Amino acid sequence: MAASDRRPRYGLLLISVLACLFAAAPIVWGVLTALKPAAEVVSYPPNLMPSRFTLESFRQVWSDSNFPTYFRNSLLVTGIATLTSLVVAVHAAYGLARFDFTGKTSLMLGLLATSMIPGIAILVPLYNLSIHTGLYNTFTGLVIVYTAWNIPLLVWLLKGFFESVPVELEEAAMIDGCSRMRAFYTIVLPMARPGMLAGAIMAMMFVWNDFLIGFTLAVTEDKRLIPYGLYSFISNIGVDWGQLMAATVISLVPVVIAFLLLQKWLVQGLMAGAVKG
Amino acid sequence: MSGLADSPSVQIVPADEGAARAPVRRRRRWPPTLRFDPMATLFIAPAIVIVFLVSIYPVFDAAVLSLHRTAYAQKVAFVGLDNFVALFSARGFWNSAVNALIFTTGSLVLVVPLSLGLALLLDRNVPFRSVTRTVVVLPWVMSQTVVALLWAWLLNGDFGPLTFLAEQMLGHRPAFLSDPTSAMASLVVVNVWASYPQATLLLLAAVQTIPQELYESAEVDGAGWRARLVHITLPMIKPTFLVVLIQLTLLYFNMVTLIYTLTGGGPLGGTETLAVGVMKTSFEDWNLGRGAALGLIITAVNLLISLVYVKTLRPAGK
Amino acid sequence: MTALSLDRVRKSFRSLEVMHGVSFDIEDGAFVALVGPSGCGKSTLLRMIAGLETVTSGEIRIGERVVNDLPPKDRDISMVFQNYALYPHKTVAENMGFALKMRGVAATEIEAHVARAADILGLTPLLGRFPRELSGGQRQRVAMGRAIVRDPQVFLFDEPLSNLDAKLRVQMRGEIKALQRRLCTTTVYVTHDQIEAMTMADKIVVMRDGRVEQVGRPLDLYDRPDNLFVAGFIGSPAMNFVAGRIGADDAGSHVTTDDGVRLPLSRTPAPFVGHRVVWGVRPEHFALAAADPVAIPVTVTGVEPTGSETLVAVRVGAASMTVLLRDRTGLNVGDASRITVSPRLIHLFDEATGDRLDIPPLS
Repeated sequence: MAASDRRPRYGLLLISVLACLFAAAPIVWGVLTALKPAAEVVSYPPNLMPSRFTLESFRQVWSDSNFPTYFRNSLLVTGIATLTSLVVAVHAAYGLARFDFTGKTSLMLGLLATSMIPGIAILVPLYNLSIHTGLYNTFTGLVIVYTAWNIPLLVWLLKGFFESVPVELEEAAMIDGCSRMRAFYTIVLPMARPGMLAGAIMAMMFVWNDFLIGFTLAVTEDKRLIPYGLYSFISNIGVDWGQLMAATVISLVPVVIAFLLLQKWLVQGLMAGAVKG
Repeated sequence: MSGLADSPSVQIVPADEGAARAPVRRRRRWPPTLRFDPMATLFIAPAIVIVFLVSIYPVFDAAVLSLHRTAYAQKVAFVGLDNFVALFSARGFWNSAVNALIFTTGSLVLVVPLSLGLALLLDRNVPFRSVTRTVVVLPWVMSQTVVALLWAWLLNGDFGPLTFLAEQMLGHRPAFLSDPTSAMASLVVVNVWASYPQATLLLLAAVQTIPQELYESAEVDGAGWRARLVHITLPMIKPTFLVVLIQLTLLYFNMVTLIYTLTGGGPLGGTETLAVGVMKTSFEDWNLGRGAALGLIITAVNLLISLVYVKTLRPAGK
Repeated sequence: MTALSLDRVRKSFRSLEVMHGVSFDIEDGAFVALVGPSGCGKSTLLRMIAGLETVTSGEIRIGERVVNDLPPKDRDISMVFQNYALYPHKTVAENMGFALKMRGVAATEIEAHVARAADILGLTPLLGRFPRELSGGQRQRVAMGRAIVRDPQVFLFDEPLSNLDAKLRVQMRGEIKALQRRLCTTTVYVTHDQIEAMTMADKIVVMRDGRVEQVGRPLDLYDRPDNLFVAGFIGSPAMNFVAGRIGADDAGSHVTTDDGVRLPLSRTPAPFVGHRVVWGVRPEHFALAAADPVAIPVTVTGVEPTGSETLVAVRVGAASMTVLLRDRTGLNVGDASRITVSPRLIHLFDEATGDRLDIPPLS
């Protein structure tokens, strides 16, 4: 913060260690549980370290439960919904960044307002709507709802990126032989890559982690997504905590990888969400 | 350079004498002259349509639904405001409202100082800062479902490590999630753990935009670290601070997944907030009309909170 | 042969007309500078020629074709932007070859064209770099390379040197001029810097408020400005102006300022006597003549020696003027002195209209 702390201070180091412990200890405990032999999971008093590490829980949850189905469903829905969200939002954001028309400000504010509607309040109408349109319990229905819920944030985020691309680049491209449309795809879009990465990770996290839509719209075992899948594990009587923690760990792998790879873009995405007011 | 030798012919047609010399504003509108450009329409329309269908239409649908008695997702009869009247006169509603208030303010009171402190810490030259930064933010990637499962295991009454630790300290074995009061307390702690990273990241980003010169100048002026915090850091991050405050408030007030998957609103309705009430009324009792009514009430409270947000943010100079 | 012609070109944004009927023709191979103060419409006009702004009425022809409704890509032009507009995610070679690629030219041929252009501009060692790895001058050169690779009918430059430092600007000025001379491609060059226009162009179009004020060769504009605006705009330091009335007596013709100072004038025919005029002389056309009793009496208010020349600020009656002297002077602030000017270097403008007043010399 200030010029006076060029020299590290060890009191601060202690606080950092405590902070890390607070953040990481629950996760570490969960991971160690997943790696324990079944008998040690349910020992009291609990032991931190397993007597031996075993992947038995992982093997069981992957071969003896429906978890692989949930995992595959989540991958599929997250992938497609992220892609469609990006495609729709990128075009809308560019249109709003570059074109001027009456009612544009109201449109932007309206879009913003929809992101303020709490999901829980429209869950029932969405449930009804999905039944009436035959999209209940289909991946298509899930993708449409996730796309719509991602759009406001993505549009606001990407609009900022497009506005920072100098107009002259598009003009140069048009003089170089592009149509306006082609100038967008060949010149502007590649330049908005950081924004698209930030947007993609925001969208991906949201879809992968969402419980409510999956719980409401995808109910049967073969359509279930991970969050509802995990929840249905815990609500069963006689839950196997070792396997449950193993499933949890597996479900974390994609987001943790994405998080570590795209950490800096993610902060940008968060900021866009914060300054949009 | 053949053409150059001869003088290029240039002629001028004088402009209308009568035309007033309007000041020329250099307008850099691009692309030129359009009102309803087909490309703009083509680009923007899909987003508008899908958002309208999935986010806006359902609000109106919810409004209609809330005025009906329903049975199995079918509207049975128009009942006017009966659903609202029934809600307001039920003890459960007020119980949920109080729970929502406790949950929201309790979480805020803990998360705000925690994340501000962490943001200031991470802005400093601490050893292993980048590792710390990554680790501290880690809970943020977890879904509320995963957080609920993880903590359900940590707080497990038979084998949970926190149960064990508490037993060592208290001398008796606590049942964190079986008693309404301790369940709410546990829920708040879990929520703090799940939601402080986002606030920390935003505040950190704000703190880092403060120019170093301000601190140096304050130091020259004789300000200690506390004075620098009060007179520079806090005023400079005020806009972000308010955004974070509102984001968190809305997040907590609307939170369903974490509560629903960790405690299910129990025990004895001890952790049932208004938002969880929608879930239970709609999908456990299958009283969709009343669920929709409750959802609308929540939307109204959201609007109220957002209004406060706009009102407080504007004078902050954005 | 005419390469580019504008015929009564007008432009309105909604109800506001910003371009009030501009016409001029440019011969094949000519270098024309569009010059004027900011906001005069010169950039808008260039963008209209490029097809980046629509034409409200009138006609723009490139070669024989009316291009009003053609998109930029079909106009056979290339343009160098003020901020260069290099594609940041493409290498120098890709930037330069992009237009040819859009035209479906074969890769090997593109490479050959790019290599030739790079050779001309000394960019060969930089072809694999990205724009962010280049200095300002190098970016400028790449932008030009991108323009010449195409071999278009017309080059358009939009203030291409304004982002460079002063020294580099002078150097690039020479390079652009030399390049244009070598390629013989018709060029329209927008600048607000009259020195750039004077040194580079074959022909200058001076614009103000969406109108053409004067068109001519650089030195013609300097020697015979059509009106007060052009007289004040071309030349640095700017021409001195004093308002007064033409008079004649036994000593000859003169202009008397409102506070009674007599300014010299060549002999003037009787009909002009009594006319209200603005008397103008360029600072470099004055000479110091302390001993001459009929010279203009002045009071020195400032002296700025630059080494090679000396800029002296003086007061003539109530009016301020600047005098540019080639020699060093012993003048100090507060000194009284006298200055003269050869009558043929005096410009007269009608005070009411601002137009040049050409007085036929008495024989």
